[in-house]
Amino acid sequence: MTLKPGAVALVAEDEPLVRMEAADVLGDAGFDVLEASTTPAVLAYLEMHPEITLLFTDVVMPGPIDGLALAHEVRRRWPGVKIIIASGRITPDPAQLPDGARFLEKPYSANGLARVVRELGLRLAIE
Amino acid sequence: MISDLFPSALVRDAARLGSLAGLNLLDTPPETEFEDIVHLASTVCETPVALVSLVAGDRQWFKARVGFPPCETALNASVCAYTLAEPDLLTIPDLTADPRTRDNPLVTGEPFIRFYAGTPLRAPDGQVLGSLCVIDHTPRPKGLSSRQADGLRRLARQVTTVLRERQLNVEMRAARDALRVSEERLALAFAAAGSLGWWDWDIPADCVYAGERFADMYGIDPALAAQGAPLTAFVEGIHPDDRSWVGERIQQVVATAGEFSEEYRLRHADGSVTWVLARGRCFHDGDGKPLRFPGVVVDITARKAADAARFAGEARLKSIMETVPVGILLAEAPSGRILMGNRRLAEILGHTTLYASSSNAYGEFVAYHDDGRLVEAQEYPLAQICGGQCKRAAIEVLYQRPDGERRWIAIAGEAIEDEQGGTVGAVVAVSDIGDRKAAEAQQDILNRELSHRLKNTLTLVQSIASQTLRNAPSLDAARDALAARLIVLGKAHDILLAGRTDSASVDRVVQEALSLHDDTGRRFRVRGPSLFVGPSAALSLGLMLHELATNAVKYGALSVPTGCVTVDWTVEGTGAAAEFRLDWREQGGPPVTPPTRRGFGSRLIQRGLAGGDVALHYAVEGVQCTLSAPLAGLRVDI
Repeated sequence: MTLKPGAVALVAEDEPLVRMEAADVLGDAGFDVLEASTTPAVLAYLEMHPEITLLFTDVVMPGPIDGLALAHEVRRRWPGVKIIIASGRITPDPAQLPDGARFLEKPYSANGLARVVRELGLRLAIE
Repeated sequence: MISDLFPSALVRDAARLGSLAGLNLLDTPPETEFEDIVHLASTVCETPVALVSLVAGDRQWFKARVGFPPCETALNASVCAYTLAEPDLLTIPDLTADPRTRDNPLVTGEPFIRFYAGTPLRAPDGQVLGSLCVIDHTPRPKGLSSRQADGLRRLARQVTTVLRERQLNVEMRAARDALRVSEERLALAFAAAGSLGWWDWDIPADCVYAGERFADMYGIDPALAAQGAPLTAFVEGIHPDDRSWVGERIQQVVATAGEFSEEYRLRHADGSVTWVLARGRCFHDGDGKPLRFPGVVVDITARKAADAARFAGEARLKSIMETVPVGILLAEAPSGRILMGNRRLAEILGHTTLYASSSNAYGEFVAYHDDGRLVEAQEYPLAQICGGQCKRAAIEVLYQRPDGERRWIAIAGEAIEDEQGGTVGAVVAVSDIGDRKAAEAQQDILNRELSHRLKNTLTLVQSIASQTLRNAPSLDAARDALAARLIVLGKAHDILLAGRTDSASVDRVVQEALSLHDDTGRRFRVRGPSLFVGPSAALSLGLMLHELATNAVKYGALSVPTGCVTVDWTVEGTGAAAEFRLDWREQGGPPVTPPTRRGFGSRLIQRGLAGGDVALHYAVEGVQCTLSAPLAGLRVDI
C-alpha cells in the first residue's frame, strides 16, 4: 500500500458504519485512511506505518485499553501524531487529554470533523 | 412657801406619769375592789375620810373615797403629793401646824381637815402613783397606832395587787381579743379558700378538732368536729382502697415527728369520690412523746381530673409517636432544647434520643452534606426554626451512625406556634431516604447511559444517512434505502430494550433483520446456538444482514421465487480464544456476477464485526459471506 506522506489518517472505531463514515469524511478531506476496530490493531498499524499523521479514535473500544489510554500511549510513543478523540459517553477535561489532542463530541457532523482537522494545522496533499 | 417645799419634780416625773397613764385608772367609774379598800382603811384607822388618791401632773384624782365628796382637787390642795417622796407612811398630826399644809385650802377652808396619814401607792412596775390616805377633821397628836399604820400599809399593798391583777386581766383580754381576731381571719381565709379544711389532732387524748369544711369533707357533723372526735371517726371518710396505706403513713409521721403530705381519695355518703391533698406535721413534747398533729387538707379533684386528661392526651400522643413510620423529634423554642424523640428516630439514627440542652449542642449530631461538608449545628431545621429564622425548614444529610454506618436521612421541620403566632417549639420528621438516594443514583446512571446510547444511535443514524445519500443513484432510491435501514436499526434497538440484560440474542437479531425481506416466510433457514452479544455488535450485525438481504433481493437468490438463504452461526473455542463465526449462503438464485461498483452494503460488510474478519465471495451459485470475530469483542458494551 502506498500512502501519501504527511496525509495519512488512522480511524479507530468499533462500529463499522460509523468508522466507514469517518473514513469517508477524512478521505474526502484528502487523507489516505486506515481503519482499525480494536486498540491493539491501532498500535500495530502505527508500528507498521510511520507515515501516519493523524489518529481519530473513539473512547470506548474493544481491547485491553480504551481509546483515551490509547491516545496517551500514542502521544508517548509517536509524539508527532495528531490526535482527535471522539465520544458520546464522556466529555473529558482538557487535562485528561494528551498534549495537543482535540476532543469531538458524538454525534459530530462531517463539517465538524473537517474543521477540527483543519484547526490541527495538518497540511493535506490535496491542497 | 409651798412652792419651796412642794415635790414638783416628782409630781411631774415622766416615767411616773407614764406608768399612771398606762394603768388607765384616771376618770374611770368606781370599782368594788378599791371601794372595799378605802372602807377598810377608814374603819381600821377610825377616820371619817379615806382616799385612793392618784397624783396626776395637774391634779389629784380619787379612784375611791369615803367621807370626801369631791372626786378630785387641784394640786395646791394636795397633801398626798408629799407622800410621793416618802419611803413609807407620811403622818401629819395637825395640818394647821405643818408648814407644808397650814395654807392648804382644804385646811384653811372647807372641809377644814386637820389630820393626815398616807402611805405611797405603787404601780406593779414600782412607780409611785399617789397615796392611800386617811384624814380626820380633828388633829391627832399621837398619829396612828402601830396596828393602824400596819393595816394602812397592807391595804396600800393590796391596791398594788389589785392593779397588777387588773393589768393582767387587760393583757389577757387583749391577747384573747387578738386570738379571736386571728381565728376569725383564719376562718375567713379557710372560707375564702373554699376547698381548704383544717384539723388539729390532740394525740394523747386522741381527739381531732376540725373546721367545718374538714368535717364536711370527711362526713363528720361539724358540731362534733368542733368539740373533737377520735381519729377513727375521720378515717371512716377515707376511700377504703386508700385507708390502709394512709393509716400507715399517719403512724409513721406520728412515730417520727415527721411531715405529712399525701394525696388520697375520700368516699362520701352518696358514693361520690373526691381527691384531697393533706399536709400536716406531728409535734412531740420535750420527752419525745407525740403531742399534736395539725394540718390542712385541700380538695384536688379538679386538678386530678386535669392530670388524668393530660396523661391520657400524652399517652395518646406517645402511642402515635411510637407507631408512625418516621422519626420524630420535638424541641422547645427559642433554646432548641430537645424534649422528646420516638423509637423510629432511634432506629434511623442508631442511638437513643440525644437530649441536647440547646441548639448549640446539635453539633453532637454528626452528619454530612452531599459534598462531604460537616453539617453545622445551626444548619439543622430544628435550630433554624427554634432560632426564629423560619417557620419550616428541610435538609437532606448523610448521617453518621455510632455503629459506623452512614445513612441518608431527610429532616423536615415545622414550627409549633402559640396563639399569637410566636414560635414556641419545633417538630421535625426524620426519614430514612437511603433507598430513594440509591434509586436516584441508579436513575442518574440510567440517564447518563440513555444519553450515551442516544448519542451513539444518532451517530449511527447520521452515518447511515450520510452513507446512503453518498451512494444512492437518486433521491427516491436514497429515501427508500434510508427508511429500510432505519427500520432495521429500530428493530435491533427493540431487541436490546426488550431484554432484561444489556445484550441481544443473535437469533432474534438475525430473525428481525431478515423478516423485512422474507416475502414467503420460507426464504431463510436460520440455525445457531443460543448466544448473546452486546448492543454495538447487535446493531452492526443487524445492519450487515440487512445489506446482504437487500442485495439478495435485488440481484441474488431472493430475486427469484425458488431462491433461499441459510444463515448459520457457531462459536469455536472457549474463554478468551472463543471465536464467533456466521455464514451467509445463497442458493437457488440466478448465476452471480461480482458487482462492478462497490456500494454502501458491500463496503459496510467488508468492515466486518469488531476486530474480526470478513470473507465475501461472489460465487456463481450464490453469494457467500463469512463474518468472524473474537467473541469477547462482540460483548463490549459501548
